[in-house]
Amino acid sequence: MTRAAGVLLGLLAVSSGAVGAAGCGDPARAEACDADACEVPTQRADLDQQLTGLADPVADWLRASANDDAVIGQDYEGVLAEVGQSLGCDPQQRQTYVVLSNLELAPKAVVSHCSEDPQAASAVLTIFEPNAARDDLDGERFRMAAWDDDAGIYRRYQVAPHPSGGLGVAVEPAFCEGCHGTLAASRAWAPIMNEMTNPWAQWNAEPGFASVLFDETQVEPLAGPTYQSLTQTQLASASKLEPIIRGAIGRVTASVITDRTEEADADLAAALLRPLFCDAAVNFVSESHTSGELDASAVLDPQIRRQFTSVAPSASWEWLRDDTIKLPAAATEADAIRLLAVRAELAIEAEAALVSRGVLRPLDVLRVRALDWTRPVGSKFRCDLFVVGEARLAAEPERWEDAETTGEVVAALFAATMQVSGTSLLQADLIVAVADLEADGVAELVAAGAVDPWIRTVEAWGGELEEHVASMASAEGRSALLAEVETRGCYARRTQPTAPIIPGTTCP
Amino acid sequence: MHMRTLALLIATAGFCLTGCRDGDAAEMGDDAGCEGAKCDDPGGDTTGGSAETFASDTEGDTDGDTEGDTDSGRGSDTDSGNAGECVFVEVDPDAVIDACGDRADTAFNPNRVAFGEDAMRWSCADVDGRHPDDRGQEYCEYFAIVDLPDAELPGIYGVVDPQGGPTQAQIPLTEADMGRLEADPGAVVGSCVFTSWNEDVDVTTGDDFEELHRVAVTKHAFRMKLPQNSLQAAAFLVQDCVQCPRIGGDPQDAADPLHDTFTRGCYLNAEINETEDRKSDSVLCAAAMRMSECGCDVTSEDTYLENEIAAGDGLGFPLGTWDDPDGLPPGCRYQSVEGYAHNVVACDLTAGDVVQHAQEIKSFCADRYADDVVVYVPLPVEDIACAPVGDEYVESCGDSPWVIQPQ
Repeated sequence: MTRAAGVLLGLLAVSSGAVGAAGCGDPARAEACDADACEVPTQRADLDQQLTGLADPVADWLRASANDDAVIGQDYEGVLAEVGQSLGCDPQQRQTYVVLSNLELAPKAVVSHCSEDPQAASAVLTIFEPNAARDDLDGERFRMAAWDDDAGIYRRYQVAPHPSGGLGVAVEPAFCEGCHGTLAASRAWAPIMNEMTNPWAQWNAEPGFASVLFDETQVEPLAGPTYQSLTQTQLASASKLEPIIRGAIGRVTASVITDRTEEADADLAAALLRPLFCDAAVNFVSESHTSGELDASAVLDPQIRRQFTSVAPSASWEWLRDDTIKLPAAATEADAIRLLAVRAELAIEAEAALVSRGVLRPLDVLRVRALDWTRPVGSKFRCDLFVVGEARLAAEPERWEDAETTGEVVAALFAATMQVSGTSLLQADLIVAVADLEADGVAELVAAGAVDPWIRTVEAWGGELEEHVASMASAEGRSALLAEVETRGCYARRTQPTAPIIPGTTCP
Repeated sequence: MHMRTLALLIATAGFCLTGCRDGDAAEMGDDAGCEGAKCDDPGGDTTGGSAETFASDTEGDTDGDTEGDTDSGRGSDTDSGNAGECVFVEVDPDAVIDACGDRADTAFNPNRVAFGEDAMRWSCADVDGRHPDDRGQEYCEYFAIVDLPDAELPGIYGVVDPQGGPTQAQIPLTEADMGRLEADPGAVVGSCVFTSWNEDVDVTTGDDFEELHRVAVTKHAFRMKLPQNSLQAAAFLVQDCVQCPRIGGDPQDAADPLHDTFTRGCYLNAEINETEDRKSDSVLCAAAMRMSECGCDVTSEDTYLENEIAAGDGLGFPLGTWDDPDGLPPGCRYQSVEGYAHNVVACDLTAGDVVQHAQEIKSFCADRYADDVVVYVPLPVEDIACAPVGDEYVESCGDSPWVIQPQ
């Protein structure tokens, strides 16, 4: 059975950190979530039936510890301790990471075990949401995500009060589907950390780093017992969670890319190729305090830099070697770039996987990135291009009739996608590089196939990129990026239910 | 600059991936009768005993700088204490001020301040814009060791080689390799290795050396290769910046760029060494210059300030992470070298990482880990006393003038 077969539900974000923005008992989300959100099995047989075939560490623990009524524990502390023990982890290595959620900026927490080993720690993550009163974390309704090595996917569990007392668990509840992403957007659920670069503005970054918005926004630490218990001795910096989430993304990426070897399947192929064109999720970057230092992904998609070095290895542009850009220092905090949406790490790694396995060439990736290249995230043109391409492939199955593997179908889908009005966007070794497809009249021209003005060599495009990046390292660049914070942030709020609240932005 | 495969490097340097002990796949220790070209190590010293320094016997300009040569005239060993003649290079002031601005941004990054009460620090990551062939300029070099499943020998990728450019950073993977790696993507199959083991410091590893992914932990693979990453270079740098002070800028004009302490020190380094493009040199020189301005010196008569600063922990500057000089980023661990615990760091490379980044594994190591592996320069604060003399920039010396603040 392929992993696409009825398993995955779209993308759930570790929103502003956590797995999903809504939980049981949250009246703000009740109407958006399934009514069965908090129903837990009350018979061991029912729980066992739900766990059939699941091979992740939490499933193993549940089988070993649930009683006849399917009660799994008395409180969250017990659950955390037992899960950690079943993982073979030292209790001292359990760590808690706290972030401001998009539920009125109330803090939420992520807990990891075996935290010094990112690979091990990415096996199980536990997420605590704010309670309804927003004065504590909800210690009775929390979620766990656990890696099933056999199936190559993360399994999700919702812990909730058991009717008999204590805690029960809903296995892979469907309630998150509508709340946390678009079903068709992705075939692989993965933990996502909204901010994966220093300074992790809405996260607690201490010890070791100074927090930014986390300290500025939060009036006082939550006084509630659950929050205090989880953070008193084991509070850790977001810098420690980042490698764990990267490990989780690595797991998902490595699993999904093996679909290329499955027998030819158009749906699988579409799932593999979609991340190049459409944003299933976004990440966010912030300026390092008011220093002006900003991750370069704010301006240029990281894959442009990565794949360019393969295509033009002797190129010496500065933007190729700089992973940060340097704006003039912000005059005030209000001028600082905070939470600028950029392409999600998950998508970037999925794209890189297609190249590293030889399904696509570096030039292919550059050709996609070259379309609307000043818009690293939120390009309607790119996503529409894919939607049309997918439909074209469905209408013209002869395009892949000789394909034996899904990887070969990806190539066919790519060719079907990269054309407009009969004009191919795959022009020998040239690139169709369009900076802004929302500029007046540009989209219409390109859509009509009139792409000649934008055909250039890779080297010529590289020069344009050099100019663009250099121009952004200025006061004008700061102004432009500040405007983008709202533009991209509102796009994220429209399309990603787990997008963070970005201070200073007003979205329609 | 042409790239050479590690195999070629091995052939010319005469050492195996896993060693060249007679009849054994382990590497010779330094005092195990390693003779002739097979285990030749330029400037190497195979004498026994604990870590010791020795004068490099390389002559001439090793990195293009006219200052900092081992035969600069100040003596070729670290005990000279003689100032010698200070020679300043003509620089482009605007370009240097610009570069020093970038160095200052890094040094005073609120999350990564370079100047502390008892240590200076910077990350192993090279500055933005560093050419890939020139990586490893900050008293920290890095490379990757990958031991593919079922491989006969492990591979070492991206090792700095001052004579011919770095060894290749691309891992050639066959379909079979890919299949074995994808079968268990979470398995650790290698390490990104970060080393601060000074190029001119030798230790006796003997026959009982440790291995990392079947690679012997000896100087052949794990000691830094660039001459500028040496105890001697660090000592000369500090010495120069202490003993060749230039009262830069206008002490009365706060708007003068050189009125700023760090900029003044960075500029001095540029004028002496032309290495304003290095974080390490800029930080070290700024601190040393400030100590000089504030009349700081070690209280002992048996040593010199530059020796105390440059010595590190004996093998090199110790490595840590930002929030803990004795800690490391997740996924990393110390690899001891004959009792020196903090100079070699190994960070996990999983099978998935290798497949994903085989095209340029060294860049992956740089992106994933280098920013958070931190070089520390411990300061002998208990043995430093300061007595400012003169009246240039001394009003703000304070008790710990080496803790430089941004203006």
